[in-house]
Amino acid sequence: MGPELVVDDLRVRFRTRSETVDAVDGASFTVEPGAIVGLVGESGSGKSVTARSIVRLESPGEIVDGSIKFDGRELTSADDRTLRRLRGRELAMVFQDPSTTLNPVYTVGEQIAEAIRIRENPGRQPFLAELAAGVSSRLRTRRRRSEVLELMETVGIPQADERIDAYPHQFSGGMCQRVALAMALARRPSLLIADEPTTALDTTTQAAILDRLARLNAERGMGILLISHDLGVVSELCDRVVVMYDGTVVEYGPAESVRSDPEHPYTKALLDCLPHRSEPRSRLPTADWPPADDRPSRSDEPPLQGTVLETDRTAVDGGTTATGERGSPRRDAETAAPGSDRRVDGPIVELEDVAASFRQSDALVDRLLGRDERVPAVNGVSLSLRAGETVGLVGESGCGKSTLVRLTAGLEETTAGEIRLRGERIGDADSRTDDQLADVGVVFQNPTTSLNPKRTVGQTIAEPLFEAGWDESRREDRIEEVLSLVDLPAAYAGRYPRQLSGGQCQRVAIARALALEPSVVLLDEPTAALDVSTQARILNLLADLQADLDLAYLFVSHDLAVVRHIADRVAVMYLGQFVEVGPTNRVLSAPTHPYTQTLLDAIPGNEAEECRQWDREALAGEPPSPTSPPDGCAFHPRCPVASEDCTRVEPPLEAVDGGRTRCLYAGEWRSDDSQRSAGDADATETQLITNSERTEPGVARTGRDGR
Amino acid sequence: MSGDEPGRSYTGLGRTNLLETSRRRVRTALPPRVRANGLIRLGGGICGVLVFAAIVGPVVSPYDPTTQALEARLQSPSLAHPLGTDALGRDVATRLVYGARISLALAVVATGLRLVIGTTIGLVAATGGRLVDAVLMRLVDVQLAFPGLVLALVIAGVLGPSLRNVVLALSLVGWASYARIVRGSVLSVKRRPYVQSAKLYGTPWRRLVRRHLLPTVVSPVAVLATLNLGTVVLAAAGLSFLGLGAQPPTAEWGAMIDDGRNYLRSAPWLITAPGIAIALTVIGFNLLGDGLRDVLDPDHLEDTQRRRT
Repeated sequence: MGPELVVDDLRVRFRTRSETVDAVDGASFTVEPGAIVGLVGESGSGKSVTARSIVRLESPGEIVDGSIKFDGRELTSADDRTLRRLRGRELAMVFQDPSTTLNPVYTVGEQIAEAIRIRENPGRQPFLAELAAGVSSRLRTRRRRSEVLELMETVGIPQADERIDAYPHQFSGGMCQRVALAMALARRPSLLIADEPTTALDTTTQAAILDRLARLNAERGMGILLISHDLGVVSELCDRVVVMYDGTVVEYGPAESVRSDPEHPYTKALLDCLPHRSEPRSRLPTADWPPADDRPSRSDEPPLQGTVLETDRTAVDGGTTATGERGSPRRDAETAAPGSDRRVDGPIVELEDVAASFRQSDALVDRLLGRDERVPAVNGVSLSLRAGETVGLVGESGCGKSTLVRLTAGLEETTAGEIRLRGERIGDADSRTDDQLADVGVVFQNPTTSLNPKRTVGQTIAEPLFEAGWDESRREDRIEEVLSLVDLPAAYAGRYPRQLSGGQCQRVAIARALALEPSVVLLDEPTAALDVSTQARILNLLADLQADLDLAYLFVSHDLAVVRHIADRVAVMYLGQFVEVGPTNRVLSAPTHPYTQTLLDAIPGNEAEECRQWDREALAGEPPSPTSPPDGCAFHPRCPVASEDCTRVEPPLEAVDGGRTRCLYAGEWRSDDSQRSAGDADATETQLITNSERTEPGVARTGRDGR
Repeated sequence: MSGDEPGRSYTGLGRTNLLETSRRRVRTALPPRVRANGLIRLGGGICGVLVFAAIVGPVVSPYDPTTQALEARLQSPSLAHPLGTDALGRDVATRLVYGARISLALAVVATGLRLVIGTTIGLVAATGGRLVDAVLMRLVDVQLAFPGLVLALVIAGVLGPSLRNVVLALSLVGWASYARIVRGSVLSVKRRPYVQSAKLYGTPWRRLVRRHLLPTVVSPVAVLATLNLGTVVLAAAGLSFLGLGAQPPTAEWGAMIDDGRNYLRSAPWLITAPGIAIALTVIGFNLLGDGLRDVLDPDHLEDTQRRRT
């Protein structure tokens, strides 16, 4: 058994020019030898600073009080030599963003070999050796090749032999994170500190990495401190959970008891706002602990939003308050935007056999020589979207879901097929009329880059109105109106994006998208960069807006739990094609395509773990390169039920069970399976029934059939 | 380069708000850390003194910069002539402050021309499609491949010696770095979601550039331009020294050094005075530019802060 880590009453302080902030304010917990401990909290809770302090990377903050003991040694007062030895042999850290963790100028093999060298000789390198580092690291890699290969296999990098000489940019995010993990393991640490190791990754990759961590813990008895904002991830893997809020530990206990019976209201609130714990389409509870007045001011998100304004909204919906005009301009003939008289039944947006491809090479020479190869990004996709309907679009990164949004928005041009808006064929943004532009709103993933940092919230929202030719007083009114639509005080119009939190920025982006009263809003992973409680607020807001304004949403996400919560219909994309389309309830509870099942299996902390069809290792692979898609069914190299036929025949998108599926054995593989374990199927069925029973009556749910 | 017109508000949130924003703009334009930055203080001080001397000096000086007084030639510094007189009896101090006018004006005009040419080309390269980009950037490469002063020498030589031609020559050789910086910054924000959103609600190209693309290049271009002012002063003096710029009897620093060259042993003040003036100008603008970069470039600032802790 390895050594134990004890953190006792740790305080870390940051001094800025204007104020001092106690980022960690008395955190205490223990990581027993060989245990997996999860550290959970929202951004700004001090969890990352705590983790960094353990390896003494807390700068520019400073440890002002408390102790960190590892193996009986005090780390807060340790000298450089001790620290170097500890970091080299005992404590290893894996960071969040795999693309910036690795050095782009060395091959991954060299970087792993370097980690091995540090374990063997953690002291300072002689000056001459350092000068010759470039040459010697290559030689060393050759000498330690077998050792490096072994490490790469341990972390699950396929074809390690070919990839050892590759550079980080040739690797996907998940593979980079595995390399970072291999570097950490090369030191044979007794404690691995993983700071949000899977946050930047796809659900499937995340599942594979988490499994890998669990296995390493079991095989090597290596302790793990796992930092995450996602209670689902933590509760699945960890023995014990530490919940942090505002620099202090609010709850600390065994994972099961924290998950099933949280003591602290904040933990409870955090758990409640996970979308997969609530009924689909219901209002998500938001983490509003502590109550408004107690909430420390350094948290920017106005605490009122979840609670007070919600009651406000109900009152407005009933039309009983003085602020009842809120939604009215839409109905007001004079101020009505060009959109409102165009209400037609039938789909607002239709995509028919849409395809898009990108040039593989940007080089001028290649183009002049006619070497103009194109990579398909979206291939033969058909979809329709009606008013008041939400279509969820899911898939791994690179599957073409964002491209589909960009095509619909007009930021890319289709290479085949057509996109129709209210029956009229539309091209890219330059060729659309003002009305057509106004009819489609877009919200992007990253709230901080979707707003111009040099313009105030008011100026940002005013821009589309200015372009549409609204005069100043109307603009002013409309800004106030849309700000109240997204539950922001009107005074925020004078603020700059840097003065807002991520959630508030996203609200402003939504407000800008709504400014011209569109009938369709394209949402490209609008909550992926946000904390769970903020995500819950934004999802609630989107649901309210849809109910009020009869909007159609195209909601892109890689998070099935979110899609299950908000979408009426789901389209699952793989390698530029839809592999399964259908009503959310059906598709996500009884999928007919193995890929959908794969995605479902990958959800961390899924309550119905026993419902899992396959071992996650089976899906550890990556999507094939779109430049050379596999013959036959695109999914067959990763498919657990693939047969001989799948490698030859490309399955069509066929109508199955209320939806459409692109699989030769659509649904059959599942029925086989349920015969084997009848209990699973029963559980799924019950879930399906309860779900549909609990659907609120009166909520119009159109487009339940495949198209 | 046209920025946003000050005071024009698209939000139209009323006059009070407009006042508020403009007041905030003034406040953020000179945040405390600009005033607290030592480099900016020192550099700004030097440049301030130079500008002051250039404006006030000619007014208070009792001498004319070009009138010869052969009876008082090659006098060493005295109370009447603080920096002595030259071979034609002209007061060196007076000529120096007149020369400051020429040098500073020339530096500002040449840098301004470089900035406009470079920014325009960089902007067009970044937004105008791949072919345009490729062609313009090769042009930049060609320009950067030539040693700047030699190219300026050629241009000034071909055009004939005069101050106007020095300005032209120096503007035609120095714009490439502006083009590169502008192109880089614009490319980095061109694909940002907020620019794409702007496209999606039908913002015309002109406004897109002015509102979303140009504001991001202001800081790096301002830093480069400040650093450039010093270089241009030096280069202009160099060209004049070689006889391609200001012609006698114009009081210009480079020309003054050229005049004083023959009296190096007997009257060293003739070249020390303009020499020190040139050195001070270059140092002043460089310090100011470095200070501005510390303040305007957030990454760089973070580094300096870290170094301090």
